[in-house]
This record gives sequence, C-alpha cells and structure tokens, in this order.
Amino acid sequence: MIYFFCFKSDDVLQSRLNRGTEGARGDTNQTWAVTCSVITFILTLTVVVMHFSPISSVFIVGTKIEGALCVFLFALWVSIVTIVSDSRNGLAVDDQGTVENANLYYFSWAGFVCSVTLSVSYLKAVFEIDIPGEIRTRSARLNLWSGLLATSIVVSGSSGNIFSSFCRGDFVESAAYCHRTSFGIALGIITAIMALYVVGVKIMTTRAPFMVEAAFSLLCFVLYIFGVGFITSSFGPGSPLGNLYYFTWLSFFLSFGLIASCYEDYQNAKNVTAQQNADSIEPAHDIQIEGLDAQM
Amino acid sequence: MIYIIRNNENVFICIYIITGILQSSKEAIEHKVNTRKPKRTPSKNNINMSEEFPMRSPRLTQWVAFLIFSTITMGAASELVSNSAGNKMVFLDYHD
Repeated sequence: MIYFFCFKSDDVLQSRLNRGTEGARGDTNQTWAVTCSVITFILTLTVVVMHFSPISSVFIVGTKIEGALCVFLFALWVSIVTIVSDSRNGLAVDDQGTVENANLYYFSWAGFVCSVTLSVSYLKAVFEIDIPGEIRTRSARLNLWSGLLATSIVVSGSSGNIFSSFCRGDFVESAAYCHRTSFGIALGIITAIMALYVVGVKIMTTRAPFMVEAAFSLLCFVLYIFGVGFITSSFGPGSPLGNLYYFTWLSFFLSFGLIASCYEDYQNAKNVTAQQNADSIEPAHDIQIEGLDAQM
Repeated sequence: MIYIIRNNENVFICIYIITGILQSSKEAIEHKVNTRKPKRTPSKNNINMSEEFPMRSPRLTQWVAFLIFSTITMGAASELVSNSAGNKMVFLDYHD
C-alpha cells in the first residue's frame, strides 16, 4: 500500500518536497509559523479567560499590558501571514500561488485583520487616538489612497515572489508569463510610489493638489485595467486564487473608487462655480429691474 | 521550634514572598477598583454592577474572535506541518 502510494505520487511528492520546504529554510519557516500561532493561541486564551473574572480583568482591560500584547500579536501575525502565504514555504498556497489550504490562508488573513482592529480599538480607547476617524476627516480619499498603497505593496511582493520562483533557476516558465510577472512587479511599485506620494502630501498638508491626485488616480486606474487583464487572466501569474489575484482586483476596485471620487469632486466644484457665476450675474438684473420700476 | 524553623528556612522564605506578592496584588486591585468607581452614589433600588465595576472590555468580542482565528490557524498549520513531515518520511523510506 505504501509502495503503491509512493509509486503513484512520487513526482508529486518530489515536487512538493522541492518547493514545499526548500531545505532548512522552509522547515524553519514552517516551524516558526506553528510556533507563532501557538504563542498567539496561548496569549489570546489567557486574555479571554482573564476577562471573565473581575479580579484578573483589572490587570488586562485598558492597561499597558493589553497594549503591549496588541502590538506583540500584531507583529507575530505579520510574520504568520508572510510565511503562510509564501509559496516557497508550502503551507497555505502551492507552488503556483493557489490557495491549497483555505482554512490556513483565509483565517491567517482574518487574524491579521483582527490584530489590526484590536490595536486600533486599544489606541482609541486608551489614548483617544481615533485612527480611522483621523484618516476620514484628515483629507478626502486618504483612506482609499492608504488602501491602494497597502494592496500595491502586496501585488508587487507577490509578483516578485512568483518571479523568483518561476522565472529564475532551472524551472523557467514561458517568456509571456515572466513578462506579465515583471509587469506585476512594476505595476505594484509604480502605484505604490504614487499612493505614497499622495498619502504623504495629504498627511503633511491635509490636502494634495487636485490635478495631481486626479492624474494619479486616472493613471492607476488605467494601469490596473491592464493589470487585471494581464495578471489575472488564465495565462497570467495571478490566475490561481491567491494573494496576487485578490490584491490585484482589490487594487483595481480601489483605483476605480479613487477616480470616481475625483470625478464627483470635480462635478461638485463645477456646479458650485456655475452657481457662483449665476449668483454674481443675478444682482445686475435686479438693479436694472429696480431702475425700470423707478422710471415707471 | 528553632530547629523546625532552621530546617524549613526555604519554605518560610517562599511563604513570606508569596504572602507579600498577594498583599501587594490585593492593594493594587483595591486601588484600581476605588479609582474606577463612579463618584455618584447609586440608589439602593438601582444598583448596576456593570456600572459599579466596569471590568468587561469593549474589546472582549474582538479578543474572542481573535482566539477563534488563532485556534483555526494553529490547528491548520500544525496539521499541515505534521502531514508534510509524514510524507517526507514515506518518500525517504521509498527511496532508501
């Protein structure tokens, strides 16, 4: 039975072993992922149990210990997501970047999002720093640009990961595949730089030049139209369901949201200008009518 | 008596340290509870324990969700790593 299993799945195993672990580095990463998740589980369980007793909750609710735990868990979860979604480690995604273990992939991302929301909630409750509110009220579209910055970095990183796995070394994919992967890297880097510039300007001066923002939004949107076409098509590097697929589409929707918001602002400004022009013309007519009334 | 004390010196030291820790913890808890009590005195007919001792965190739901996610992630990662190790053993046995 074992022999049959080995005979039938020899190639699969060989490929899995080759790509799955990549020697000691892959093994170390797998061990590190499991260790991080175990540490997180123990810490979170302790915190939840401590919440249920008034005596022990004094030490955790709203204290610096909770803040330190939030930061520590966020850092741990960053490393978990990075390792788990790296195809070279053979955990949640296979060598093509396809989600192989959905529980591990989706719940590691869910845990990451949860660690972020926990940290944000702690900052808001203890230090009264309302990060989402600040982002919303600081400047228009700052949240969209920040999101685009984050997703573009993931697009670039995932493309780079695929490029180093399939466009270098012994197993080189077709030239078109590698060109599309290179395009993914360039797309991620260019849009991340544009997003970083706008986010930086908006944070420093609370408003960016509208024309620059509109031009960058349009450029991002156009680039991501080609991006989703080349990257997520059946022969592209992002065709399997994985980080590259999800984040390319997410970036596309964010850039669409940006250009739609810019267009809306432009229309509002146009309407306001038209209204102001109409208001400035109307008093002249009134005076003339009053003059006519006096003459009558 | 002195003989007993000398023989159990370490035990007494431990008991002394533990008692000290418990005492300081109790004082810390009392201090926290006193500082968290609302200044107004609730009427006897309307005593709200959650208002009196607001110990439950608004983030409890998020912590529970985080616990669930970390449990699933830990289970999935452990299972995958153990399977991977098992497959590797089978593969090496076959080639040996």
